[in-house]
Amino acid sequence: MAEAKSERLINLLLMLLSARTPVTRNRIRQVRYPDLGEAAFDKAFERDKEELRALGVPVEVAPIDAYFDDEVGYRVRPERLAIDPVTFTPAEATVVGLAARLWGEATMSGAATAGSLKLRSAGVVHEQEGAGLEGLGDPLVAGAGRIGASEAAFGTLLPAVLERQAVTFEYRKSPAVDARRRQVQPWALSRYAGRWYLLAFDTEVEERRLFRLSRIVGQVRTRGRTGAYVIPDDLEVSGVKVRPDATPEPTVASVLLREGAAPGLRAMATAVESGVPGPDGDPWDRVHLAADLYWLADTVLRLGDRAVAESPRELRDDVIRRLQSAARA
Amino acid sequence: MSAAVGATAQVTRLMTLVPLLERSDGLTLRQASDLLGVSVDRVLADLRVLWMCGLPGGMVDDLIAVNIEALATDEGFGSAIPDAVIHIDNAGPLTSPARLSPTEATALLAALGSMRLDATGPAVDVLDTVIGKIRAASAVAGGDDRPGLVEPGAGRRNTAEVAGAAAVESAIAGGVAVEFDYYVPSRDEKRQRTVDPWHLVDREGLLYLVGHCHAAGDRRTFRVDRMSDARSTERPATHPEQPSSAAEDFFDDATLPVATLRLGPGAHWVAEYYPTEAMRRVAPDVIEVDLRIGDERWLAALMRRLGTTAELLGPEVLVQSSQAAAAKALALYR
Repeated sequence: MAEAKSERLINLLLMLLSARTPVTRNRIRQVRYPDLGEAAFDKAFERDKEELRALGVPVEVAPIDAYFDDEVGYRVRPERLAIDPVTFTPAEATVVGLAARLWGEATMSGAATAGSLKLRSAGVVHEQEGAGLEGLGDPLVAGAGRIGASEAAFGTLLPAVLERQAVTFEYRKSPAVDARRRQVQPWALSRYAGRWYLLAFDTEVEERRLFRLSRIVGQVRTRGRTGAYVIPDDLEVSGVKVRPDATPEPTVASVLLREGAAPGLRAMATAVESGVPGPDGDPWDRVHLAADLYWLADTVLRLGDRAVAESPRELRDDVIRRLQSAARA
Repeated sequence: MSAAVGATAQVTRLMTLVPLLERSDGLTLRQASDLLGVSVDRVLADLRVLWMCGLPGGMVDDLIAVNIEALATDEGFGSAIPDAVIHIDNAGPLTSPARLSPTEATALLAALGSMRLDATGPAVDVLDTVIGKIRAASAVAGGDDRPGLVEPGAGRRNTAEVAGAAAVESAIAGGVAVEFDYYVPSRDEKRQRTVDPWHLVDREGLLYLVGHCHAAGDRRTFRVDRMSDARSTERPATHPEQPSSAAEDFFDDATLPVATLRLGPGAHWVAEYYPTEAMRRVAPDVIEVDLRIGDERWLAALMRRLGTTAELLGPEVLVQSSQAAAAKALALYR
């Protein structure tokens, strides 16, 4: 099945590539689709032409006659299909190879590999094993399969963004509300802290909105033609940051830990006093560190009776208030 | 249909392979298979397609000539001999390397952009140069191929995760067990584990090891950033992969008790963050969720963190243990 279709696509490509002037639909049908009737040909040719375009082949539509545009033909100009000359140093070539392995999501992984192969087939990459890696430092910067996309919606939204095609989906804004149908023009996909977000123009409320992919319920469906809209230059959402700020300001704090408790907090410490008298009379350790207070309160609460928040006051009060509630005291 | 078998993937491979063959003056089947990342048989199947392709004259001279050393017969190709050399002739316009498709350019540029966010020193300059070159080489004049529409963000920089992943990957590659100290926050406890590793899974940005835990004698999942001192051993991994009961949820276990939590607005994240058995809206801003509880200490820690924003409704035994744990911690503040 796949072989027959591949053969049809390549033969169509060769015909369009080798034509000096645009080829009429009739001629294409006679030569490449001789067994198909009119309707079947229209359908097959439309699909094949779009598949070639998705592969990066610039299939052009142009008038056959320079003076009359009532009949159009198709062609692929070799100079537009061919990649522009480019050369890579060994270090740069290594970086391309690493980038090609970075995606853990199947569509993007396949596309990145195919793209790096095309660069290689252009005869411009001078490969040299290992070169240029030193500067990358952290090996997981380039860890294979590092960029995942477990959200089911990603697979449909990605081509929709790239091809400017509107979509609809059911979206649950928060767990406390029912899912509601949205009709949007997808603009951009962005990942933060392992989660993918879609920036899109909601055509019903006529405003730009940010959607979290994991809150999309069920299938994403494409609507209408491709190339249906233009994505604006500025991709900010009013009042919403596409990329939330990662780290709040750290505050200096001190926490008492039981002996041996919380290796993670100890690793962050700026100073540790061992064997100080604890709240229960046993010797504890006092750990000084700088951290986001909300995160630190969460961590102390997680540790239960193995940690006590000492200072600042607001940290201690927050912990006590939450413990009282949980103890129903 | 797998990705390697589809017509689109096949045509992409052929558009890549033909210029490579043209330039290299012949490759072996094995070399082509390594380059394309598919099996030798798949390369042969790809070439068989080319055999039937050519310019639209339909004459023998118009066809692409594929020649695999001592293999091409009147019937086509015989069985795959990896060292056989492939030659190609008459491929005409297909021999120019093709431009990257929008998806290909986006996938590479997004990956490079992500690497750039984490890179330091001279690597930043190398990445910038590569990004610029690929963008220039793949751009279609007048085309609508804006960069930056897909942004994966920065990668991991947690050193524990880096070291853990490296050790696990090397153990998987070597078919041996991996050893590490594993920290469990709900128990504030660190213990050594030996695991026959099956695979690393990326879930919402966190990396997990799935494998056979020797201590538990069963399939277990470990968060890689909670490992320390991970190293691959000499001991061959002997436990083959067990299929997961539900591919989606590797924390699933129907034998565990179910707790019911009432969540106010500040605690709604729980319903999204943890896999829930059921969810009910009981008031405009209040929901109830059922969660499977593997460890009552984990639940008690969650309730302490949620504080005033949530209430544990049952079962009674878990309510008691959870409140007792909070009271014990609270006693330290008197």
